[in-house]
Amino acid sequence: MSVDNELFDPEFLGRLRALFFKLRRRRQMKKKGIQQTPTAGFTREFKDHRHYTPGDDFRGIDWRLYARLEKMFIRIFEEVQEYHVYILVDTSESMIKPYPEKRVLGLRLAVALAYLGLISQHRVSVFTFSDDMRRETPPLKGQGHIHSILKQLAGTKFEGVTNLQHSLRSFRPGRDRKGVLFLISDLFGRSPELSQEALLDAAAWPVESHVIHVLHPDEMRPNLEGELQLQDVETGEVRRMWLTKREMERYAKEFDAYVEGLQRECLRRQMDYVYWKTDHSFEEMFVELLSRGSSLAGA
Amino acid sequence: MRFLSPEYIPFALLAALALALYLFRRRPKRIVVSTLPFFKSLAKEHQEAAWLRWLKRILSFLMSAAIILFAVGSLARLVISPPAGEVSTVVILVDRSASMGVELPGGGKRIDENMKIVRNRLAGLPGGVGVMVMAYDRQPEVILPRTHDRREITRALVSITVRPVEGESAAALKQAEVYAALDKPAVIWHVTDSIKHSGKSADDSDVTVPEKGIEISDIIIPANGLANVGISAFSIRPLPLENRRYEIFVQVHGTSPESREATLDMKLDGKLVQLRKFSITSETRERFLIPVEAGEGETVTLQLRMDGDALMTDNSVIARVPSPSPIRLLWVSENKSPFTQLALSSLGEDVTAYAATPSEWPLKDDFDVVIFDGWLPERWPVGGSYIAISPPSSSGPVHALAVKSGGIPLNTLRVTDDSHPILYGVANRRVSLTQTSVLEATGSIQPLWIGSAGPILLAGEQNGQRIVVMGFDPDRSDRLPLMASYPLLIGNAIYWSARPSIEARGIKCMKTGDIIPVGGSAMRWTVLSGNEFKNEDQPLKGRWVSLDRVGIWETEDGKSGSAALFSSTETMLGSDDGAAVPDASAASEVKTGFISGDLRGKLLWGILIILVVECYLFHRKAVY
Repeated sequence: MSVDNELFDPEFLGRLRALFFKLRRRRQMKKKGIQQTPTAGFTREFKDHRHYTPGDDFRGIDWRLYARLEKMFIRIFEEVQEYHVYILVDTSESMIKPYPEKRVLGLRLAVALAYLGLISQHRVSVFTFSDDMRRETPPLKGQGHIHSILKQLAGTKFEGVTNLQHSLRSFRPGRDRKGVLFLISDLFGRSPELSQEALLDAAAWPVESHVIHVLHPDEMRPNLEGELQLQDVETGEVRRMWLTKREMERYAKEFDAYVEGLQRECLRRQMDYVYWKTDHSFEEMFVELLSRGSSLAGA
Repeated sequence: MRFLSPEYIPFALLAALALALYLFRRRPKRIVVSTLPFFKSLAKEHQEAAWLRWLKRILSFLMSAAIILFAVGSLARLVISPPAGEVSTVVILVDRSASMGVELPGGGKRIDENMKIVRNRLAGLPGGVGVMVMAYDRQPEVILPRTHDRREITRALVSITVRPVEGESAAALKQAEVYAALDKPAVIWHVTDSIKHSGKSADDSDVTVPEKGIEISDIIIPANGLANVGISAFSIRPLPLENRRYEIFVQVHGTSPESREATLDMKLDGKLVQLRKFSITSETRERFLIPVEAGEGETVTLQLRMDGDALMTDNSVIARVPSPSPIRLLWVSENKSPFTQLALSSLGEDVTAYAATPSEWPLKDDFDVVIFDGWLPERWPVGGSYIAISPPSSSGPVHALAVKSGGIPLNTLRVTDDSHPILYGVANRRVSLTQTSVLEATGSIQPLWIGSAGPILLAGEQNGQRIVVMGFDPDRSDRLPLMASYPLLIGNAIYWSARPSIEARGIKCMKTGDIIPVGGSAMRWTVLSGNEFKNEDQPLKGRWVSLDRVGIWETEDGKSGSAALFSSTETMLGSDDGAAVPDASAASEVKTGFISGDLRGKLLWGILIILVVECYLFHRKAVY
């Protein structure tokens, strides 16, 4: 089995397609029409009338209605806008070691989001980052590009030390169209505080940001005890420790506080935050992610 | 570096056990984690950096190994020689002669005061310096070989006691320098009572110049203000031709800052028979000739008394009156001269004369004096004393030539030394004789009478033999054989020639410190205790013994004699003639490095410190 098949086997793609239809049905149940935006545009789809006010484009005056009512109204048409979907995948070493499930989850999530974006006629760009931000694909549009994204992500190497702050600062999303950004990472930098600071920079982006915190259950509740040499997967730093249940309880508290802190900071900056444990059901979590108010889900 | 108890060195292998435990220690499991920053936020004592842990491991191992090695080093008595340039050896050379036992004005004996200074110096001596203890009187003796054990040194110093023996420092200093030179740089602490002994006196020609790397430091307490008187020479001899009468010669030395009266008592078997009084001033010497009538075997005691006498050891002499054995005389002649026979018969019981012919010579018996009358042996005998009358030829020390044609009549003689004992009582100016041999005076044999044809009477000592040569024949002489001078001349010659034998048979009064051959397992001493005699038995450990008491000694093999100090230098208490006395109380400047010498104490301290540090690290800093 090739790497492509390992990550994105036909079964997964089938499930993804079923997931997409599931999402579309849910969307259709909520409202008619597709991919509407609240703003008006110049498409052929009529939306509404409103009173003419000086300064309005007189080309939009409905003269027929003026002839009948002797009042000037402006015709309003619906605007159908395409989004720019940014998918940022953490490819640092902590995403593959010691729990390779995080890599699989991160890549599958990226593919799912890309597939969703492409199939909805949005532009999709895939970036990877560890110590620096790297563009993996140019902005792609059209369902046919999913294979190139699959191929590109399958060849991604997970290595390097996470430098979240530098990577996110170096990322500049375009302002030409509305953007939806998905940041897929375990957010393990040099220290928990630095991760929170890095998210401050992400809050300034002119996009709708979703932070997907990928975690392994053992990272949240490690089952370690006794004298151990703990080696950091990225830096190689080794610490010798005596761990007891008391220490593990303190660790869990510290980690929970860290997650809550991230959640709080994202909320304050109007960023969506979700932590995604690798043992969660992918479909359920994906639906949950998109049902949290993502523009991508509502398009 | 060396070990005084190397049998403990194998225990050092226990350090290998510690090393093995360190090398094959159980290593903790290494786990790769992605959340190390969260682990790092736990309590500090539960986490360590790898390098810190390594450092602690190494530190723990090194401390364990150090404790083992230090303990083994301490048990094995690790000794490290001081580096070059530092004092390595101190030789404590203690003068234990009689004058070291004087009572000082402030109380206490001089040797005790000196030892206090030595102990103070020892207390300030660095541990790395090896110390050797020697003592000397007439002979040097190693009391303690070089060691670093201060307790052994102290015990050795305590064991040194004053002996009533004269001190001879030159040989002892030379021997001390030999030992000191084995491990240089070295210092000799010379504990003595006299600058003369120390070899630094300006007028001493035998000044000891130590070789390079050896320094001599004197510890001297001078005898300022002390008075003493002592017997420095003694002799007892029977008076010639006088039965039971003896003459005692006594020499007394004394020193006193002011004039003092001293008394010499002479006792026979404890009864006072003579008493002499004299004055002692600064460096006095008195000589006494005391005639005494005594019987064979009686004990003669000479005792000095003086107020403020600092040293009692030299105040007494005990001796036994010798047995008056007669002189054994052999007269070898072919034709016995009646005049000579008459002269010999006049000597009475003091001389036992035997006659022999030249054909019977040599005889197996020993004689005190042999007279060769008109004959000389071709081979001159060894030992003894000889009188040659009218020698016909030369033999041995006698150089003569017979005068033919009846001899040379002489009426007047030239006397070279009329005070010579041989001419005592002889009427030299009335002598008329016939010279029958022409004599030649050679060597130490000197002429007493000289006639027209050369010397007629010769006397002198050669090769340990007393020899008298008479170049005339009494039978052919005119007046001399008929005069009383001839028996006197013969008698004087016999007594003068027999003097060495008489003295050898007489009282044997030896100096303490003399070494004599002995037999048996014990030696009995008769010593003076107050005014009474006391017997002491001295066990013998060999065939030679050093006389170390003042008194009469007798051995189981029949030998006997007496011993006394007889030393003017000891009696004068080491008078310094105004020479500068070194500051003995000054602290020694001997310095060595910290890591040198016997390291037992330092190693034990090291173990203690390591244990304390380990406790601190283990309990306080949780190094485990």
